[in-house]
Amino acid sequence: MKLIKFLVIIVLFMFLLGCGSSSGPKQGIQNFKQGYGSLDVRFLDNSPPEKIYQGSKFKMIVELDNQAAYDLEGGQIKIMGVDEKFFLMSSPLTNDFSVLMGKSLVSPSGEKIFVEFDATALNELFENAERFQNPFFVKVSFDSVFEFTDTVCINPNLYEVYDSGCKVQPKKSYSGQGAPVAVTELESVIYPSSAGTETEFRILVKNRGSGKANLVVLEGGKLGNQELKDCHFQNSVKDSQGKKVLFYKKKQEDLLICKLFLRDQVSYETTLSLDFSYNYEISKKHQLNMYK
Amino acid sequence: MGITDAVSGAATGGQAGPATAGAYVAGKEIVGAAKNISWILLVLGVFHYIIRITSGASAITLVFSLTLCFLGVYALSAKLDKDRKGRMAILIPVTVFFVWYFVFGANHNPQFLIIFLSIFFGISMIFGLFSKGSSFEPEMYGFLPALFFFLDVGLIPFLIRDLNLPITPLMQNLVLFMPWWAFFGLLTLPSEASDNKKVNFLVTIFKVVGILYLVLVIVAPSLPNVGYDDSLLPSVGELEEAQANFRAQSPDLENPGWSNLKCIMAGRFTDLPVCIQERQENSQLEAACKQKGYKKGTLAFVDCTKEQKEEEAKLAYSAGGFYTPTVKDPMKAEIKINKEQLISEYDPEWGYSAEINIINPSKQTFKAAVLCDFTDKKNKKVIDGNFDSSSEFEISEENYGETFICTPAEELDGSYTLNMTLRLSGLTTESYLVRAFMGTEKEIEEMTNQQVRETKDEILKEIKSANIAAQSFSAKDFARINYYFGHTKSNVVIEDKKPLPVLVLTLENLGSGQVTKLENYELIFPPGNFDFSDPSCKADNIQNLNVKKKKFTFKQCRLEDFPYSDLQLGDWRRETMTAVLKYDYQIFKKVQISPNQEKISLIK
Repeated sequence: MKLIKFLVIIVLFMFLLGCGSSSGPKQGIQNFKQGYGSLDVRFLDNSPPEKIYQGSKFKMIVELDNQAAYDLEGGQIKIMGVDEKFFLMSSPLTNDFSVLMGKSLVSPSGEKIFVEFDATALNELFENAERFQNPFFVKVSFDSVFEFTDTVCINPNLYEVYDSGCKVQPKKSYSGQGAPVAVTELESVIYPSSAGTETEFRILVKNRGSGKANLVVLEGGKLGNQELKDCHFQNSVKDSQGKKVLFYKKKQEDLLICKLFLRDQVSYETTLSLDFSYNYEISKKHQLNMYK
Repeated sequence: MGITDAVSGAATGGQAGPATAGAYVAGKEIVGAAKNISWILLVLGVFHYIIRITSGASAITLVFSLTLCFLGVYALSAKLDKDRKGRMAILIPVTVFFVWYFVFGANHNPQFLIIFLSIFFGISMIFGLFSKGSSFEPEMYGFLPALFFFLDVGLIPFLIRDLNLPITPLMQNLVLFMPWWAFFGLLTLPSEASDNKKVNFLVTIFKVVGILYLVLVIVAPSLPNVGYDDSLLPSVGELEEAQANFRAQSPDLENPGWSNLKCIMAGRFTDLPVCIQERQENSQLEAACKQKGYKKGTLAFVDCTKEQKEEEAKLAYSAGGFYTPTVKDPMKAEIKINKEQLISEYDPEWGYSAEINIINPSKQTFKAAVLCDFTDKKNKKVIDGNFDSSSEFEISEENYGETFICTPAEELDGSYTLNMTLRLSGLTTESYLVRAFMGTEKEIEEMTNQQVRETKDEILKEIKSANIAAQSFSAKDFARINYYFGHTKSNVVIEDKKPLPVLVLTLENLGSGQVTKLENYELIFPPGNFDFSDPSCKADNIQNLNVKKKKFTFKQCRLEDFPYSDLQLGDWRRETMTAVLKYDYQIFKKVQISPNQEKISLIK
């Protein structure tokens, strides 16, 4: 009897825990610019069909759902690897889309589009073959941007014992800015130089999405209202003044180093903001199965 | 007197004597043995085999096989003296195998396999943890019932369907004509299966033979030069003919298994296939020179092998191909001569009947003609043969069968060779080749060479996952064009880079007959700019070619330009090409006849 009572209490407790706090109306503005939201690419169910019969027409419908917090521009979706001896593509293999809106107040769930490819299964199946399997790929590429903003503490007085200002956090980690490419770490280094004090921000920019980032460009940076002129990627491309980097397949990250000479002598908090643009590519594999 | 009677009789001591005691002992043996689950498995395995052979594979045989598999687990655990826990451990790999085979459809994608095997390993570790390591050994043994089940029901379809392997008739029959579960029962019998030494000895012999057979079945697919011959479930006669043809073509070829062993003994583990290939090639060269009369060890023999090697090197530039039953059923033609007519008492005036059977699965239309003559073995005189009906006909149906009677133009008395020839004109065989065309135009100008290489590697991985065969393929017809198109023979990816890809066309005679005439060929390319240095590469009349060789390269061309110049780096296209060959073929049948006019006149 005691055991049963105990078990009932446990179950009730679990129900209570499971319910959790009620999700009442959200306070303030929802911040979409967090996490590593990206473009979700998927084929709609049955498009293409699981079984495609010879001589039949079918569609391949790709859903592009922008879950990033920024618009995607200059998008292109390509189909690759379909054997045209067996499948005749009525639609062009490449489709462009100009803008795909990201998550925002206006569109909290992001914009979604469906791209259709029409095709016909030709009567080319070999006489004794029961089916023909044709693996293929859909590749989506686009350009987008992301912004990084954070409050940092600038303390030029390295040896000040009694510090009434802010405390410098040498290293901070971030969980994304609402895009697949993101600033993931920020290291602040302040050191004396011959002319005074210099601060160096070592910003790790990384691809955290499932696709591949290509060209990443630093469009601008500011510390407070002061423009960050001395910024360069560690592995920047030639003739880009250090502002562009091309991510390798294996190493989808790079370090951006920004230096600034500090004029003030007192510590203060200010905003570090960086704007990036990048080119991204997502690839998905699927398969066409032709049957007699 | 039944077994139980014998036992009870002995037990009560009634009518004691050597015969009764012997019967009692025999009875006890049989009863004891019958209790052994291995014997049950053996008997049921034979029964299962009979059902499979007589009525073919069905849901019943599959369920039966599943049942025998679990019985096998019990038999194995009894053999290993394992308790309930041990049996559970044996069941783990069996269950994992069933999940992989039935639920995941024998998915052999490497990424899937990594995850699946990791999960299996995890489960195994958990069991190992709870059993303090004692479950590992029975788990290893548990793969045996799974392997036997796979051999019994799944191996052939898996090899053909999932791995696209055109397995040999030999391999098919090795697997299909083996009573696997009976064999498993035999293997799990205890060493002292009975008290009779002879029985135990026989059981041991069968076990050893069975194990060797099992090893051969597992190793056979990797043996080179067993050949990519195939057909759909051949009859035993066809298998013998195929083997005879193979032996006729390479009578002195070193046994591939022996080459395998020699290479292992030589320590060439890292390049074993290369070593085997070298030994096979050398044995072929030596055999050719021996046939020419050169003695091994002489300088002339060495020169001969060098010459042969040069000839072979020319052939090495030729294109290979394979045939797969998925294209279509093979075209076949056969001449059967009535053996009863070959006796000396048979009067040639009555005519010799030849049954012509032609299998034409694709129902193509072509002409056929039957010819016959008689060659006197003494003086080599050729005597014409005549047919009573028209021996020229057109075929467009799937199956053709007709008997022709060949009568000699003169009286025959003595020893002759009856030559029957079936000429087929206007045959067509198609062969196919798949290639991937990869773009190289940099979309992003800032890309470094390393980044370009990395991007290409990614695309190559994608293309690899599409499982494109390097060789051309066709149905198993009489002859075909083998061809390759690419930067190298085995590379399926074509890029816009210098040197541009070459196209090599090789004619191969697949049958035991002769290509008598090549009409023409045509290569059908996909849409694109496929221009070659020689315009006749794509299509030509090839009537002047010497068709006596089994395999020869007759065209080599280079592509003028990459056909898809708009493809950018990261893009690729998959295309299939078709080669159509039109040709004439003939097959022969020779039999020895010795009509004796004296004997014939006596009968008359």
